[in-house]
Amino acid sequence: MSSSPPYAETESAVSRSSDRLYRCDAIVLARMDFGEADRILTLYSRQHGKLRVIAKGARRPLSRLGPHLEYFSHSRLMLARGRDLDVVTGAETVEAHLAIRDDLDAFGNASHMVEILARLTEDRQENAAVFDLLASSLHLLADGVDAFHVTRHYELALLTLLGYRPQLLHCIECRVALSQAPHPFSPAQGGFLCESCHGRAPATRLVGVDAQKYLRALDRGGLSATVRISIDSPLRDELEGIFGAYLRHIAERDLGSLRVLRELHDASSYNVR
Amino acid sequence: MSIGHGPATAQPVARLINELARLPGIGTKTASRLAYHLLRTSREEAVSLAEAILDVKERVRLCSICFNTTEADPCAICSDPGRDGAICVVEEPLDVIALERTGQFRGRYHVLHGAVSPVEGIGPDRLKIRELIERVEKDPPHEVIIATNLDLPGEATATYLHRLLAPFGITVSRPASGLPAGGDLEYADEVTLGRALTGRRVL
Repeated sequence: MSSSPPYAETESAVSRSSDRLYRCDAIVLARMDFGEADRILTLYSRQHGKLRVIAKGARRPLSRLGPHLEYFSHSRLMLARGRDLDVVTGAETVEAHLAIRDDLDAFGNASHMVEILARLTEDRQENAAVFDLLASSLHLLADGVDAFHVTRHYELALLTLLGYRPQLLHCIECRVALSQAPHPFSPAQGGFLCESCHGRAPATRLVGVDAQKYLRALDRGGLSATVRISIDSPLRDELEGIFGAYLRHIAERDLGSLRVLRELHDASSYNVR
Repeated sequence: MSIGHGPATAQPVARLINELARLPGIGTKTASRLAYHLLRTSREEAVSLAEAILDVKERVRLCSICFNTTEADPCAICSDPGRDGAICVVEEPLDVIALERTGQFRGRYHVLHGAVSPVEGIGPDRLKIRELIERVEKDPPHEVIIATNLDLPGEATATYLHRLLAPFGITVSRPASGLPAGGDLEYADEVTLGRALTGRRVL
């Protein structure tokens, strides 16, 4: 109506612009160069789950956005709804996790964490607990806590939050309690099989008693229950293998970070000769 | 993958659009504009562009020493006797051009063709790292400057190279990082500002 006071229009203009802009806490999962100096980022935000956004000019040395949009850094962002991708209009670092840069093991494991999160989640499915898990796990890596334990804890906790929690105590087929013996883990079913059910899936590898104990301790007591356990490298490989196989099955693709992490581990090998 | 163009687009034009759309940073809209522009240009201009593309593919290769793009092998920089014994390691051939523009570096280069980035599945084996180590082993330089990008993959690559180069007992350095020329202090991020302070110099 023409009788409405003149300030009504300004008010609605303000609310329209605030509809277009929104804030969120986010961690960069992946980035891709785009155009002359832009970057397309995949973020995991606390408020809106996984998002794909564009940061214009982020690759220029004088960009005010660029330094705040680095892999693994937790930033507070201002985003504007765009036609296709939302646009980053402001960014401020909350926690840069600088120590991850100088530690190749932490760097490789942090890469693995963000990669599986990007693969296992859909766009705009909000899950604050997942964000908090990633943020705290990156924080622990930057603090120098053993990357192996932090990463295994992250994997199990993430699988649990996303509804893929593996069955560790009972046979996944017949529900009978598992005995103290090596059992095969079936990535397709997401759990261990007992001796009698094993016959029907003979291709699966047997998982040793120690590895099963580690998984149960992790499931029951979390990181505090496992971080003091000292484990040798065959057991490390075995546990990495179980999670790797299960994650690959769910993601339905190969995981690049795991392969590169192994290459980085073999790093010193062609140096020492 | 080809994108459907209606009957309004002649088949050769549609093909050109699809080819152009494969270039980085070019979508179908830009590709169509470029295609119709080429359609309107003279035959000579079009042939010159086509020849330039073929030339690049046929005549340019990688220098067997530094892996920069070159026409002659070894490249002009590697075969220049006036260059000193330092090696500057960079990610891309474009970085060599940027560093050459400064006129501050008189050594030779080594182009890795990327940086270690696990998220993108790029490991050390995909880069010219083994070649760098072999080069250092064969003819030890007095210094290796690791001028990879100052982002996370670049920093991780530098850490990795430092670990590999440490046993050779040569100086391994990294370009200083700090505030950009023409930059405002108040807009600097914490990381840059922090490094600028730790790396400050006495006047």
